Amino acid sequence: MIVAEQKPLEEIRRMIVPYERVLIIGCGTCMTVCGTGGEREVSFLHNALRVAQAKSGNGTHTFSEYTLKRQCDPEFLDLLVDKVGDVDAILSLGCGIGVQAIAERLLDLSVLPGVNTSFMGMASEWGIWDERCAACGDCRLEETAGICPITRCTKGILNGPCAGTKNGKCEANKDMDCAWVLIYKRLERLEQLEKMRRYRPPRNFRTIPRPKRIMSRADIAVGGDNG
Amino acid sequence: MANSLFEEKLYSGEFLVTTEIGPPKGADTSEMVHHIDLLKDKVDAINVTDHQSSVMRFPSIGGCLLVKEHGGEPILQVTCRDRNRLAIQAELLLAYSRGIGNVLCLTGDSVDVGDHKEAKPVFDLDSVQLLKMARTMESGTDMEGNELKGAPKFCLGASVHPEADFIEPQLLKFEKKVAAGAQFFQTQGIFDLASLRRFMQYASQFDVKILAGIIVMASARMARYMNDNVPGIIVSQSIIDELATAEKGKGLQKGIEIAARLIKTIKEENLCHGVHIMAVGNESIVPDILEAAQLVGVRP
Amino acid sequence: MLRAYEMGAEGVFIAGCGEQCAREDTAFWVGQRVEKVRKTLVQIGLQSERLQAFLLGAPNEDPARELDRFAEEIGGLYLASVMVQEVKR
Repeated sequence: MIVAEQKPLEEIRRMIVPYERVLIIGCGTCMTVCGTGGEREVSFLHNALRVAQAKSGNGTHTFSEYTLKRQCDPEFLDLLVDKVGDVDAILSLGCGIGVQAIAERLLDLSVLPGVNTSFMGMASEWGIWDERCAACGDCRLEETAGICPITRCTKGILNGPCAGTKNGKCEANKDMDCAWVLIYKRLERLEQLEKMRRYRPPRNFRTIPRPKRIMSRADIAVGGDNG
Repeated sequence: MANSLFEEKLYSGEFLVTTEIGPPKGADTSEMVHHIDLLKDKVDAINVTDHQSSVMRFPSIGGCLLVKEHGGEPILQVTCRDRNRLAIQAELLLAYSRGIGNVLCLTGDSVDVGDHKEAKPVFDLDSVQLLKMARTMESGTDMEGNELKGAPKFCLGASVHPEADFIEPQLLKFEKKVAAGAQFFQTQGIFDLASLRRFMQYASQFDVKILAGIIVMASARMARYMNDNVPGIIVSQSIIDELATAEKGKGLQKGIEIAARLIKTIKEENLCHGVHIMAVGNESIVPDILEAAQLVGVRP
Repeated sequence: MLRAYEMGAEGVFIAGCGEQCAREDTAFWVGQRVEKVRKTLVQIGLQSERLQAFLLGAPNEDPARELDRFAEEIGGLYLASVMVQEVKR
């Protein structure tokens, strides 16, 4: 899932300075799950901005709220079109994708990002999110017993470990496990250490096309069973 | 026909001695040159470090050129932290063209431990891939298979960590480095000869030369600091205790004593093929260590 | 909770159910929400002490006394901010 954190209130207040009527748009998918930009967070932010405005004595913004099920889907963006007639700017609490999707749709409005999109990750415990995937496009979890060296090794190396591991932790961050120690132990448990003995050639960092594109029309159209 | 003077010595059977010089943080190389002149005739080769601990410094290639200029034998250190495969291949060509044939291939310390913590870490390659790439260049092509106009020849080395607290993955990696083309290894700091012996029992099955890394500590506090902050260094408690017994102001003396004792034992018992002396920021004491270890006068 | 501040409240005192609460984990949830609002108060430029939570039902605890103490503290914060305004003028 995509995980983000709301920007500090100060920064948001600074961004909206030039705009009087601001529509705060939330997202009902990832941002709701991580408690950053769902309907409730939109409402809370709205109140916080109003209190801040009252306390500081400057700023004459008026705010409105709306939450889309997903900001990254043309189907839901359609719903926005007639809601922005008397709005000067949009403050999106969607991830970076959502902000851009809205911006591409509403070409005459400024769209501001209210969150810092940080990573793709999972909830290791309730309310605690950990990065797990870098979307490298060349998944090699089969070689590393399901532990990603790109995301979990600080250096992202493929022939690990390096000499900086101490007590199973990374030299750069003592609270962080050394991914390659984890990989070694898991491969050992699965009796697949051979995979770690194999030479892994350099990664393909090719950036073309940028941004990347995947066509999946045929896949979506087929649906279930035998097609 | 050896690719360098150091390579010749590597296979001569002599007990090898190398040391390292840390370049300055700045363009003023006078102190570095002074160290080069001090050490060039006392050791078999001099490593010039490459942004050691991810602290920005005058580059290794620059230092190696100076070593060469002053009549010493340099070992270029190349890390994968700061440059991609294009830049590294280019540097290897430059090094070879200027008579620098010895290359220590390292992954490199993480950017986060250094003084430019927000820099973009490159790590396009790791040390194993770097070794393989250098060997590919020797065969006459770059790593994409394009023909080279003038193929370089190297004597390649790598590092290993015999005192790692979890040794198995390190040994696995050591084997990969040997398979990828490493001829010699300079180890991380050795403080406990028992682990060196154990490691050598395993490593002697491979046709590679091992130089034990000897780090000179100036005090117990320095040892503890390095333990906590410098990647790859694990100082044993007994050494820390021994350093703590030194009188005030005599810490460095103690450190030299300990280093010399380790070196003598390694040489007398033929534990490995040589030593690599690391006197961090203290290069001028290296001759004292050599003397204390009775290694003076053996270099041609 | 924020609405109260917008309406002009200098401080907000929350009385919640303690151990005898019919629902589970009230204390935990109240704690979480108080933490969130306090962080926001700081970002707005208000002191986090302007929000207090008190859980009823614990022995030896006197809600009235806590409320008095809170009122006094808020009074102090209010006076301090007024003086700051005076100085600025």
